[in-house]
Amino acid sequence: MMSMENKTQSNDLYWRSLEQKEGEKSSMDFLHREFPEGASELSSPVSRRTFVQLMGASAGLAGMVACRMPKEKIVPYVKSPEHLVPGKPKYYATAMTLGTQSYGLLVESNNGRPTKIEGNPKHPSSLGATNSFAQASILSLYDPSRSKQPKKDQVEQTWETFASEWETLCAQAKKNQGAKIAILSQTYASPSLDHHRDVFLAAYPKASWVFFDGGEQSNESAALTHRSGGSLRTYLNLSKAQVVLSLESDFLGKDVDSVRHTKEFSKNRKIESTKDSMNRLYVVEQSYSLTGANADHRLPVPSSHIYDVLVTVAQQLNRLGASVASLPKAKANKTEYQQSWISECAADLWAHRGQSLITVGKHQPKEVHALAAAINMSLGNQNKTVFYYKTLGHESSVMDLHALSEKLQAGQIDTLVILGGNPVFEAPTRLNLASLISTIANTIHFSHQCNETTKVCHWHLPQSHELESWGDVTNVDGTRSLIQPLIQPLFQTKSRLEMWALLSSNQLRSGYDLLTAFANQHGPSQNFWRKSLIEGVYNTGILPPMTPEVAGFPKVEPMEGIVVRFEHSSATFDGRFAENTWLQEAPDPMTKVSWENPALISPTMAKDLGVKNGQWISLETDHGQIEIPVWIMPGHARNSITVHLGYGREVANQNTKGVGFNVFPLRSLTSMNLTQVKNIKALSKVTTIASTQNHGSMEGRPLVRENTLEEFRKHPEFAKEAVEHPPLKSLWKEHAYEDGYQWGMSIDLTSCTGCNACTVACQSENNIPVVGKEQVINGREMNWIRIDRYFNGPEEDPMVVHQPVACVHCENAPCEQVCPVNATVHDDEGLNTMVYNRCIGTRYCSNNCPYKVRRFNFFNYTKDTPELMKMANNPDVTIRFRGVMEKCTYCVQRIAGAKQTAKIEDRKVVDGEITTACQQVCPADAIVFGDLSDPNSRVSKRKKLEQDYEMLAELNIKPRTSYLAQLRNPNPKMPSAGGQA
Amino acid sequence: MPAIVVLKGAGLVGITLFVWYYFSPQYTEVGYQPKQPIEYSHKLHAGDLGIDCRYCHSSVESTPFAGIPSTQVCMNCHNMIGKDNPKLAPLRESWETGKPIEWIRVHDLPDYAYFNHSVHVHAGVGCKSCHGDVSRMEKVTRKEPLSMGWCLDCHRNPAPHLRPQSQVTNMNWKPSEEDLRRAQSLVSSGQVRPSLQCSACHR
Repeated sequence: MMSMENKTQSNDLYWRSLEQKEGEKSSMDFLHREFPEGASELSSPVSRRTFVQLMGASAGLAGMVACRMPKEKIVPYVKSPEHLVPGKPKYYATAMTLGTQSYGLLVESNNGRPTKIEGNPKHPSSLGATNSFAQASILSLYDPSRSKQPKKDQVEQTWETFASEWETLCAQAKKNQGAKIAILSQTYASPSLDHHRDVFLAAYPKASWVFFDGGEQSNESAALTHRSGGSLRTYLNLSKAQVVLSLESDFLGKDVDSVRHTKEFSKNRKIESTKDSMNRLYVVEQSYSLTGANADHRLPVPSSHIYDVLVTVAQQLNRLGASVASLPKAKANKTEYQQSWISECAADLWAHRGQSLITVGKHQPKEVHALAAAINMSLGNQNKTVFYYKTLGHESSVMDLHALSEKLQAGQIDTLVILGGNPVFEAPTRLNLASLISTIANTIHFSHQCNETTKVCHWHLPQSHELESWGDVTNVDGTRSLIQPLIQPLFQTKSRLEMWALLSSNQLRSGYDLLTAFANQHGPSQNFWRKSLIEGVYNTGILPPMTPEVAGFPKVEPMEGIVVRFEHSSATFDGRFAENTWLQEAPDPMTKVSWENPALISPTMAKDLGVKNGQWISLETDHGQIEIPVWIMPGHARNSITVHLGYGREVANQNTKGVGFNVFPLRSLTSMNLTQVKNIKALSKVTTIASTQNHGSMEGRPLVRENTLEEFRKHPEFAKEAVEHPPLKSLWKEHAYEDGYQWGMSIDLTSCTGCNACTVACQSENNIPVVGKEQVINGREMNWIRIDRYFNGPEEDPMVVHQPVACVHCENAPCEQVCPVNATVHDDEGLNTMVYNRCIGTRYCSNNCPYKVRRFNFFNYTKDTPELMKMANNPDVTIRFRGVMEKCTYCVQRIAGAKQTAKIEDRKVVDGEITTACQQVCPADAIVFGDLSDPNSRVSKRKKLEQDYEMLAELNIKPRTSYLAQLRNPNPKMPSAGGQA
Repeated sequence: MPAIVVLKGAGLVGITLFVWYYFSPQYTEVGYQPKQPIEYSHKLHAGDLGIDCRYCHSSVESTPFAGIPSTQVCMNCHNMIGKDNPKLAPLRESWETGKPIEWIRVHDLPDYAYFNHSVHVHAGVGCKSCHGDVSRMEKVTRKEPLSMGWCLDCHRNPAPHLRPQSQVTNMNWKPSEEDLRRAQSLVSSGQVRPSLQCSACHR
């Protein structure tokens, strides 16, 4: 790792990709050709001349018919619903679940169709923000490939037919108390679903009910038990933590509660003056995670060595005075660098007793969780920064699934109900679920989409989207929320609550009736019900903190040789978002790869194997073998491979089928998270990976500026002084921005974690099309806000800086000076506006844009948008046609809306009234937007901070978006030279 | 040769002028009067009976859209009045079947232009300025081109179109000297300052 003190602002230190670092031709080509090879040519063999002729003819034929605008109809209500005014969006509080986690949402509804998701400020896991999964879930609602009708053996049926068949099955099952019924469900935490499950199990006490999710399996509750017998889970309070050690816990990224974690963590990293202090984050992990990218010190080690690292931390702490009992011996094969890294980290934790915390990835073996809990208690962190709460909801158990498969094998089951998910695809191949299930007489699969599991089941029952469902959910801290529908089910689907009730009591009742009946029976009065619906939450924060029983720590030999870790994907999670094209197209925050999941390896390992990016390898474990291309990830631990779950589906819609590579076959019952590699060999095949890491590159100028907190205190002006330039003079008379609002933005690089939520939120708010893998490879992705990721330091152990870049609305905009048709012009409030209907597509503006933020519609991407998917569009934003340039507008529709409201109320727009979509979604509060003419606005205050800098200010373009330089808080005692085991 | 050039030039000018006039909204749009599913007369309702515009177009003061009345609003009166009128058969049918009436849009803007009724009403622009004297129309007819140039004419010189709030829906209003002076001062003081920026209407 680079020594922070020695870091100069020379920009040779920052690199986007290994190719760029080595100065390879391919990355240079991307840089030099604004529109890469083939981008400017029509793909069909129609020549330019014939094209013009054809166009001329059709214009002639169209003649006077086209002179009137198309006839449009206005269809009013027959009976207007109360409180619904066409043209005025409404907001409803609801919740979204992701396994046992939940997010509180406020959903915007335009004339009865939900269009945009925001976080509910009152929900403890959202606090007003969301993540990319929540943002993108609106697209899943309008997915035309959703299952629309119940089917039996491919023949369309009705729910009534199923209900009567189920009744017959139940009547038979009653005789032996349901011994031959098995239910395989996805995990959840919902009181009303549990109520119906209890009713079901009371009626059929011998039935088996198994929970299984295909993703990373949590070992936490197995490690942390309570005296009374229940299992516990950890709850982090990062706002109180000064020193944090994360052992492969991606608490800012893909882990449970990451939105709240990011809120709390980033609050302790906001620097407003040289007197402010900052928390410190140490990360030990195998593959580079978002949490690792935000660390002050990061140590790459294979996942299998985490326990050993933690044991060493504990020993070191014991030497300093802690009392962690019965420790095994740590292995002594660490390098000097690693040894002193761990010692200094332990010393820092010890120095901040009661204000530190150790967090462990849920997938880590149970002894790691137990030891981390013991250390946390020994450091006095319990009930200060770390809390232990009762585990709520049902967790996935692969062992239960194994037991179920044995029952299926033995012919003890004749009725199998699979509630959600795709277990056939996700379960370890050794279980042979597909062939076992196809031998069962009655098989029922309830899910959103047809998948591999549907194929082997007789019945397929379509599941409603959560925005169509009534329900309730318990959050990890005990807070409960109601799930209320924003729209009637679009197809003949049933919600989970309705399905559970159908199973338990054979009734086809509406979700509303079921939920109100449950609510009345279990407490909430009518008043309470209404209040909970409006606020979205009830029963806030009621869980009592507990103390886990921690047993001894066994000696564990780390797996030798190469290991492969199975990780959730930033796009598909565990595979449940595989059909979502917004998520598939958003580049992974760390690898910048979209539409794919190549195997991640370290640069050294790539050299040893003799492979380059995109080259295929054959990967064999004790349980299976796959072929997959590699992606060389700087900072990845040596001797280890990371693969992402949820890709490579075969029975799926056209957007998902064959996207990425199926890595599930490598897993087994005992190695769901990590396994040893038996054989690895390079193949000759090479494919192009759709990575955006070299896109929009800006020729090595000092774009990101970074320093340590200590250096910042000595030289607060470092960011502004990074570039020296002569006095700036304009060639022409500049636009005067004298009166009215003056919009501007500030982005804090220290807070920004790089999580992608803004990219997806912007896509949802601004009707941005999806272009597909091939077009991403061509550099034509359309996202208005991209997140640039820079490495800094040696290949094996670099640091990472993330920088969100959208149009910066230059006051002296280079794009405007070259547009031949005045399609991009400035307004008096400082917005660089884009007039789509004037644009003729010369693309000069994009050529002249130093930030490379303009996006061109090479094709009519929206032409084939299915009618159903059009419902997700924001009615306040124009849909763009082929041949038109587009880019960030500072959410001009939101600005205009707020200005109009203010005008009607005879007042000025107040600070904070307008939030851009990226600002609203940001869990780190990194983005602030507002009026620069008001010296007291939040954005004006931010821009006065010392670390504020304008990117490319030396070009005299006066961008309205400025950045706060990245500050880190490294431990001065840390060893400065990097090195790995 | 020069003759050909001159001819060509004249042809070009001719085509330009032809397109200039005959392709303009002034020619193609003004006078547009589609056949509506019900022969609803604004002259009868708004003119003779003197029903205020806002009785039916109820969201004009609070939202971007003026709003088209639901069948229910029509039935408020027509469950008593004109119960057997054959002209109202589609209305009764809509009420009974729950199927909405599909009106044809007369005042239509391109999808990339965003017009907001409430701000205009609030500033004191009368309905008549854009829609003509609806109280004298048997069938609603488009009176103005609603082209960008026409919008900008008023945005550049709004005073002649400004009224006191109470007179916005009045089709017979004639400004007094005092009204004109007031409108002029609203504009010169900057209280009414219509935007001339692209971003005002295009998003």
